[in-house]
Amino acid sequence: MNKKLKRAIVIFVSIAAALLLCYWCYRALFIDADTLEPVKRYEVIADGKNYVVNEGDAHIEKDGLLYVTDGKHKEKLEGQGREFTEFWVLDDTKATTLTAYFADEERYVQLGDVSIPSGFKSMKDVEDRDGNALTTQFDLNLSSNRRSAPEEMTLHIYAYLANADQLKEQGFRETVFTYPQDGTNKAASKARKSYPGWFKQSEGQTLCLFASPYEKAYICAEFDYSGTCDEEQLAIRIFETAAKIMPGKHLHTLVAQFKLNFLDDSRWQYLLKGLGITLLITLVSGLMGVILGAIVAVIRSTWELNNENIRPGIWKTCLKALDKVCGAYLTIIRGTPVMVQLLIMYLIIFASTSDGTVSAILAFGINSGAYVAEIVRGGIMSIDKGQFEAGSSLGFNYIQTMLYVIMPQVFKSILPALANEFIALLKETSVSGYVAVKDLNKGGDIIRSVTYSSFMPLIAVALIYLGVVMFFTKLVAILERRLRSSEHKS
Amino acid sequence: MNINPDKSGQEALISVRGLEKHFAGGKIKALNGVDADIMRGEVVVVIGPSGSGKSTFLRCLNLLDRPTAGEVIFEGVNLASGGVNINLHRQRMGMVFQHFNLFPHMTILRNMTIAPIKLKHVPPEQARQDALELLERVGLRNRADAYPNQLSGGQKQRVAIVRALNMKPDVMLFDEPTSALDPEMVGEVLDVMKQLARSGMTMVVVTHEMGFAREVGDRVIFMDSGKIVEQGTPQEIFTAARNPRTQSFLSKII
Repeated sequence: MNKKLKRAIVIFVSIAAALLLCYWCYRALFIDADTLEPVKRYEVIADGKNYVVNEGDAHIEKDGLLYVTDGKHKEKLEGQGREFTEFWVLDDTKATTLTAYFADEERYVQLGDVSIPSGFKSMKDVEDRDGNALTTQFDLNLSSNRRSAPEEMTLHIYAYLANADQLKEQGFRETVFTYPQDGTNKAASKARKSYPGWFKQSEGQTLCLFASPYEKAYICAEFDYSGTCDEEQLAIRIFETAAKIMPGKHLHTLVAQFKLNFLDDSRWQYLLKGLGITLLITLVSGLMGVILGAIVAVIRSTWELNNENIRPGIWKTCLKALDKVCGAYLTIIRGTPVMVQLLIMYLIIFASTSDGTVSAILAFGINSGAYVAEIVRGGIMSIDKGQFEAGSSLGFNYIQTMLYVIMPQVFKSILPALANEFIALLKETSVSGYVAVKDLNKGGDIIRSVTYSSFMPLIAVALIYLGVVMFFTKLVAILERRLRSSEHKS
Repeated sequence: MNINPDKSGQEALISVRGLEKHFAGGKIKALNGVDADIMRGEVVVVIGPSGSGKSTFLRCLNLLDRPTAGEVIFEGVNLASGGVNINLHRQRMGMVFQHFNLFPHMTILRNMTIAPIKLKHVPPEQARQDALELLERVGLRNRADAYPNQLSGGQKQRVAIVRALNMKPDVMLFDEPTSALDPEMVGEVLDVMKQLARSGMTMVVVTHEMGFAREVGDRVIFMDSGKIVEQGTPQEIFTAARNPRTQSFLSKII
């Protein structure tokens, strides 16, 4: 009975946990937890300065004046107070505002500057921060211009929070995606070039809506005035649409994030190309490291093993000098951070060309050479002296003995250590981004800087590194097994 | 009984004059003035207590240990003088080590053919044929494609001998070739060496195998404290040693 009860509890708890997990996954994948939340703030102009006070810290009393309170005291601020609403993203400190920009006036109107009553019908209801009805402005610009229309007029309306699908739901016909760093005007002209037809229609319905797909980026709605379209209606449409979307869902589900970070604009290519560069740097500098390391190791171990047997003379002096140079190389390279070596290579040695990839290959190759040298030297020192003697007794000179007899054995015994070094090198190259190399890590960086999201690009980069490392580990294991079996097969 | 044909009156293949070898900066004098001639076709067995310098003597012959002083004249060239490309001369001096020193990463065949192919530019197929013939002679032809650690000690040493032979050397140096072997394997190696001696190869053998010295050696050299104390035919040394140190050594060992 007791057992059955225990079992039932365990089953119940497991099911509950599984359900919770499912729910969490469902939420993570499909439900957007973040919404924009309107924040009431107060603004007062006093002593010629603008003060903005958060809700709770202040309120407007019946006299229309703003009172600031810290919970106990209440202080009347001089000047006229005014309430306005800003939209904030919950998980971010950046204000999300609706911005209207009147190109011909070089003037921005932000949502903070205007109040849009719910269910507003026309621009006449919009007031600017000074309490003046913007209607006048609009009338001037739009309505009155209808009587004396300028040849061309462009009205930009930017609204933060864009989601193409939502905009389409609102009846906008097309959206063009652009990078925010391109600058909106550039984006507009780019789109104008790309989609000339949209701008040729002159009946007012033609709206080119630039919606940047990134959260917290903005929509730029642009349309060309040709004297016949009803800009006012269009502007209202845009404001209405923006107002509808603003408190809406955000791009926070994992699926949306995945799409945003990898699929949109083929952003996965940053990672693919980055991986290519990373592998290029790793392979070339790894090869360089092995060659350099082997040479240094041979010089060092030759001196170490034979310095007593070599007759004094020019060769001995040369070898001794080489040994000292190699020793200095090891000390310097192993005693300074690879990052610093990389920067020295890029900013000092290659200052004139500023070739990041070549600098990175050389810096990492030279760095890796020092570590490989010690591995190889250990391998050479571990080979039985008899192997050298056997080689010599057959008539091989020192280099031939090394090449045919010693090195193949050394390579076999140090292979695991070499593989470790190679894998460490692969990971170390992730700092190449500092010298303007677009490697894998930098690729993730670029995506992050565009999409403002960290999770997906970083995890993706980490997973790719992990995958590559595991692949090479497996490869080395196979190679090692093959080398080992070559000595034992009968 | 001496099984070799008479070789007296032939020219010296290796002449050693005033050979000295010091270690540790002169503190240890492993060889202290050694003079010896090794005739073409002669089998010289070097015996002596451990530390007597007999291995050093052998290793000085092909300059694995560089002599501190003295001359090693091999086929008319003083190897110990500077400016000699010792590697060329080593090609004609085969050496067999106590610990075999086969190359563990190569097959037996490769062990035997790499030096002729790389150094004497023997065509690979020719080198292979030669190697297989030699392996046949030592009864290891079927192990040609095995790796050294699949062989017993005796087999390894036989391979080491034919590896040196495949370079077609003028002289073979043996550095205690049976000392690292299990007793039951000593015989097979000695048999190969006897066979080699019978074929007329010049051999210098450092060994503790007195039976071999007696049976195969043309001349026995007894060394002690870095000097040749006594030398002569096996008969003379083993039955009528004159020097008390030789007598004392032989009495202990036999």
